[in-house]
Amino acid sequence: MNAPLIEVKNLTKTYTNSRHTVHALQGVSFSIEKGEIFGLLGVNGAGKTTLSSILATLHPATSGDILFNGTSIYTDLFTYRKSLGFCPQYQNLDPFLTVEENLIFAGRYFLIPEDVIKERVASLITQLELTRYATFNIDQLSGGNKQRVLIARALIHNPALVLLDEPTVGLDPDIRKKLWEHISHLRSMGISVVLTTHYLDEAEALSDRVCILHKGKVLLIESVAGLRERHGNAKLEDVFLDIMKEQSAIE
Amino acid sequence: MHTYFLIMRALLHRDLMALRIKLPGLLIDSFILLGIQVLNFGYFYPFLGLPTNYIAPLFIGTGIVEFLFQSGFAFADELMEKIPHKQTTVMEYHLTLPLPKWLLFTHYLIYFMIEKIIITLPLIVGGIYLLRNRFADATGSFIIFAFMYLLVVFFIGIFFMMLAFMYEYQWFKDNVWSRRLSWFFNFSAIYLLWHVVNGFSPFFGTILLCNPFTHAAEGLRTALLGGSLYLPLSITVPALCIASLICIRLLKAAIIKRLDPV
Repeated sequence: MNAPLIEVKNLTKTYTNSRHTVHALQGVSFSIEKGEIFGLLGVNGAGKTTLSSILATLHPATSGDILFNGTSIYTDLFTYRKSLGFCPQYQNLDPFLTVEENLIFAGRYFLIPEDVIKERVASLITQLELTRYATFNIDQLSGGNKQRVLIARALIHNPALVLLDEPTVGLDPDIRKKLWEHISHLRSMGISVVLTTHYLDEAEALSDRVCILHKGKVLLIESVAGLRERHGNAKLEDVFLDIMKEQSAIE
Repeated sequence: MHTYFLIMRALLHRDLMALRIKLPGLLIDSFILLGIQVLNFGYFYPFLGLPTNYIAPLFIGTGIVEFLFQSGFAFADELMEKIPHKQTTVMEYHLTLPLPKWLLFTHYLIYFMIEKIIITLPLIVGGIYLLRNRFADATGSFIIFAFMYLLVVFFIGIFFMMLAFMYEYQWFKDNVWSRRLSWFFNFSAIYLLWHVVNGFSPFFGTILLCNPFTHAAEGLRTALLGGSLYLPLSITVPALCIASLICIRLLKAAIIKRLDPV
């Protein structure tokens, strides 16, 4: 059997200042298979963004490890980052550059040869329906189009893993649905996706498995189909609310 | 290591593209300042009684070092907008690139140095040319001046990067001038000549010696004007190197505290 693409092992993250100690993650473990869309769910403060930022190597874990193809990412950060595409919650595109230039420079940052960059940029612009906007500056784009450019930028170097942190937050329903198609398409390309979202319909439509985080701990990891089946084929949103209610009762 | 430098080169290439857009505006600023400084030092200050032998050294202090100081403040302001806080920024994207952190932050510093060298060039060359009568007695060397100038720009870049990471944006905007920078700015040899201050009060002379901006201004004076009226390079160069090392150390700690990077 093939090793999972990502193995998160007993990850903890503690924030300490002079007044407070916050245990944002407490012993989080899971694995992600190649070509899987893995949904990270949880209420505000559950630890989703912390986990996502550790996976993106923005911040270190306090303890625990993350294995990428069986090797700790911290022993070979360069290889891991070359295989990682990160879409943050808010757009952080380069405002001085056009859509096309943003993608070209992203390709250069990952040392892709210039001729390959040209092909990749052209193909991603077509795939993500950005042809009309290729020469637009970032500030001239709508929120939905900025999100598409972010996804295109995350894909420019053909990563094995893409982290999408609330990719459709604040977008119109029709644009969200369009973006879902693009995200689904990543699975068919064999790319693994970690999808952090508040929208449970989004998680239900896109995820193969979901991980529900609660107060920094993993509450459950299960396939969407299995989870719904166990709850009488209810919608994921209802299942999630039931689980949260149960959790409150236990606490 | 070679691959890291290629990534850094791509980052700098992007910055220079952005600079191309900003450059006309920056050069206009530089030429306006040049005009004002030439008018001040060429006409108004001598008319108000400033001894002519003070014109060249004070032009170096207020024309060049002050301009770099102000530019450093603008750089810190710009950098602070890139530092991830409540919203993600382009720096957050840079932090996920396959590049060691120290090279990423070095790239910000190199860009600062390139930009400042380009925009202070008209000020230095034009200023010295237009006030050439006041520089007639200069016995320094342009090569040593260029070296000293690079060291000063490097130090100012590091100093303001350190401030950008040390303080919260709002605090920086509201308080950094009055509570931090005014001391560095006013108790330095930017507006004053160290030997004059020291002659007036050795106590204040000693205080000024503790300020790296004194060494920046005096070092540039010695390098360009020569003579024994200014602090020698054997003091100003090591002082600026030590100040830079202290700032690098504080910058490193501030980056770790602020960004908690991998």
